[in-house]
Amino acid sequence: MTSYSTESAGPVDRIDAILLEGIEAEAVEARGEETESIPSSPARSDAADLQGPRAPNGVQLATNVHVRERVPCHGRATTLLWSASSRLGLELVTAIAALLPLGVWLLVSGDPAEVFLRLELVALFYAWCAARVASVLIFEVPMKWLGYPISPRYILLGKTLSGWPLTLILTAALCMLAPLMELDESAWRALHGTPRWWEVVSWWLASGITYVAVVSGARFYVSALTSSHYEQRARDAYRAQKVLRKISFAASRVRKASQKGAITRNATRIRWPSTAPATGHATTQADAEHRDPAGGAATPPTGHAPEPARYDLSQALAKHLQLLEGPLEFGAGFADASSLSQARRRAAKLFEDLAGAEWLHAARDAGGGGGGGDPTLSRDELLRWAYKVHSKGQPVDTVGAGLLFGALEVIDREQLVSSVERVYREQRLLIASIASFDSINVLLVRFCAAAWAALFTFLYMVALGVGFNEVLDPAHVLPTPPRVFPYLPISPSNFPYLPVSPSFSSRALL
Amino acid sequence: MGRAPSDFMSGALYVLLVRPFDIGDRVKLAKPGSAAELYSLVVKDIGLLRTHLLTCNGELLYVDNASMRNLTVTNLTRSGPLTLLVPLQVPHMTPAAKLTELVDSIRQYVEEKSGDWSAVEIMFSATDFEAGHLVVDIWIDCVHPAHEVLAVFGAKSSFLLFMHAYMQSASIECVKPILPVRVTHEAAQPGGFMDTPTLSRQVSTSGRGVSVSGGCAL
Repeated sequence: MTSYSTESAGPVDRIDAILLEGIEAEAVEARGEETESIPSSPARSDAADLQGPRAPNGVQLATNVHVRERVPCHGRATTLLWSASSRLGLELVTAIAALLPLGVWLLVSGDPAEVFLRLELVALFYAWCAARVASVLIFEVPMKWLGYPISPRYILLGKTLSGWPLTLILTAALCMLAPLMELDESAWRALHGTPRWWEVVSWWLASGITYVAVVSGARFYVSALTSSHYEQRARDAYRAQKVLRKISFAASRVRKASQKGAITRNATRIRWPSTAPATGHATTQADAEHRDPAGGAATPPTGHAPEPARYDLSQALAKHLQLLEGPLEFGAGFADASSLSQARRRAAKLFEDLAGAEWLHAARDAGGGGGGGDPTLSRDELLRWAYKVHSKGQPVDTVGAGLLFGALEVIDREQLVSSVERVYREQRLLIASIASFDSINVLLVRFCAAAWAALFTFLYMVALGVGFNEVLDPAHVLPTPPRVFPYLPISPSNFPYLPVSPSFSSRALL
Repeated sequence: MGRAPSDFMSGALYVLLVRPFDIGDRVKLAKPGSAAELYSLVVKDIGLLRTHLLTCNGELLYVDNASMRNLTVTNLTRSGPLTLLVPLQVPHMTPAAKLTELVDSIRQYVEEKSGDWSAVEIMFSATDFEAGHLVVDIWIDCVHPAHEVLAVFGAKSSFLLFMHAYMQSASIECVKPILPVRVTHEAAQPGGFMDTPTLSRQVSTSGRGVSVSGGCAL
C-alpha cells in the first residue's frame, strides 16, 4: 500500500489521504489490469521519475494502453453466435413480456380453451416484430450513426425511446390502424370485435408514451442537475491541469537542454520555438493539445471527433470529465500520477527541472541572497515563460494559474508540491463525486419507473373492467354471515362464545 | 416504523436535491443555533439512507440523511478563504504608546506573512473594568481555503505564537489577578518618598504554585 505522510501543512492531510487511498483502490479495481500497477509497484514510477521520458525519442507511452490479445477465428465466430443468440433470446422475452397484458386480456375476454388457437395472438406477435424492425430502421440505426452531433437532450430522449418503448408505441398504433390496411383483415376485425379492445389498446399506447415521458423527464432533470452542479468545477479542475501541463512541458525543455550542455537564457529562448522540434516532442505537444477542448488547436490527431463517454451530461462537462478521468497527466515526458505519493514525486522532479532555469529564480532578499537553500521561482516569470515555450502568442491563463497556485507570488518546492497535490486531489474527488451522484440519480430514475409501473398496473385493471367498487365493498367480498335457525334455542351452551350480558339480545343475531 | 417512509423520502430528497456536500468535502455539523460539536468531517460516501463521514481522528461516522436534514451543515470546502476572529485581552494598565506599537506590529506581521494572511482589521471592541482589560478584536483574512484546515490552523498557530512572544517581550501582561489586592503602608525608606502608600499585588498562576509579584506607585 502507498504510505501517505504529511510532513508539511499541505492541502492534503491524513484524512484526505485515507479518502484518496480508497478512491484510488476503487479506480484500480474498475480499470483492472493496467500496464502500471498503481500502489503496489512504486519502483517503476520511481524509475520513470529518475529517467524522465521512458520511450526513445521522448515519445511518451500512455499508461492505459492495453495490448489486444489475438482472438482465434473460430473463437470470434463462437462469440458472435453467442451474442446473436442471446440478443435474440432477449428480444423474444421482451416481446412476450410486452404482449402479456394483451394475452391476459384475450384470456379473460374469450373462451380460455380456444384463446391460444386463435389467430389474433399471431397477428399481435407479427405486429410487434414489424414494429421492432421499424424502430430499429427508423430510429436506432440513425441514432447510432448520427450520434454525437445531436444535442445531448435528444440523445437522452432517444436512449429512453429506443428498445421496447418505441416498439410498444408503434405496435399499439399498428393495432389500431391494422383493419384499414386490409392485411390479415379477419384476424384484426376479430380483435377489434373483442370486448374492451379500445380500452386495452389505448392503455397499451398510453403506457409506452408515458414511460418515455416520465423516464426521459427524470433523466433530463438529473442531467440538468448534474451539469449545473459540476460544470464549473470540472472546468476549473481542467484549467488548473492545463496550466500545470504547460509548465511541465517547459520544464522538460530545460531538462533536455541541460542534458545537452550549457544553457543561456537568450539562447534557449531562441532555440525553443512553439512548433515542436524533430526530437520527438511532436507527440508530447500533440498529446497536450489533444487534451485541450477549448483551445483553437484542439484538433485531435486521429481526425475524428472524440465521442464523449457521457451522453447524458452537457457537452462541456462530458468532455472535461473524459479528460479528467484516470491518472493525473503531466505530459512532456513525465510519467502519469496514479496516486498521491506519485503526484508528489512528479512535482518534486518538476521543481528540480524548473530550478535549473536560473532566470526563473525569484529575486532574493538582501539578507537571504546567496544562501544554500532551495531556490524559489517567480510565479509571473514562470507562467510567462511556460506559455511562451508551449503556446506562442497565447496569453497566460491567469484564472487557471490562480486555481493552480492560489495567491502565491513566489513558489518554492513545498508550494509547488502542494499545488500539484491540490490538483490531483480535486481531480480524484470530482470524479468520485459525480460517480456517487450518478448512483443516487439512477435510483431516482428507477423510483420514477416504479411509480409509473404501479400506476399503469392499476389502469390496466380498470381497462380490463375490474369493478373496484365491488372489490372494495365488504358486502360483496366477505361471505354472508350464517343465519341461525329460528327453532334453535339460543343459550350459552349452544353458543359458548357469546358474551353474557344483561343487555345482550339474542334477536340481534337473527 | 411509521416514520420510516417519510424519513427515507426526506433524506433522499435532501441529499439529491439540496446536495449540501460532495465526496471529499470538509463539513461541520451542528444543531441549529448551537456551536458545532462535529467538526472537520470529511465526506466519504453519500447514500440514499445515510452519509459516511470520516472524523478528524480517522473514525468512520454514519449519519442518517433524515437526521442530517435537521442539522446545520457548514461546508468548509465551498466556503473559500476564511476571516478569523482572534480576540485579545490587553490590560488596562498598558500605556497607549504600547498599544499603538502592538497594533503596528500585528499589521507588519500580516504584511510579512503574505503567504498566510492577506489583510487585518483591528478594533477595540469592549472594555471589561471588572476583569481589568480591554478586548481587542483582530479580524484577520487567511489566504488559505477554509477546507485546508492544517494550513489555516498552522497559520493561526503561528500568529498566536507571535502575539504571545510580542506581548511577553513588550511586558504587556495578560494575567488575571486571583488574589485580592492589599494596600500596605511600608516603612519609610532612606532617601525615598516618605509616607507613600504602595499597592502591591500577588498574582499566582492557577495550579502551578508560581507567583508573580509586581507593584506600582500611586
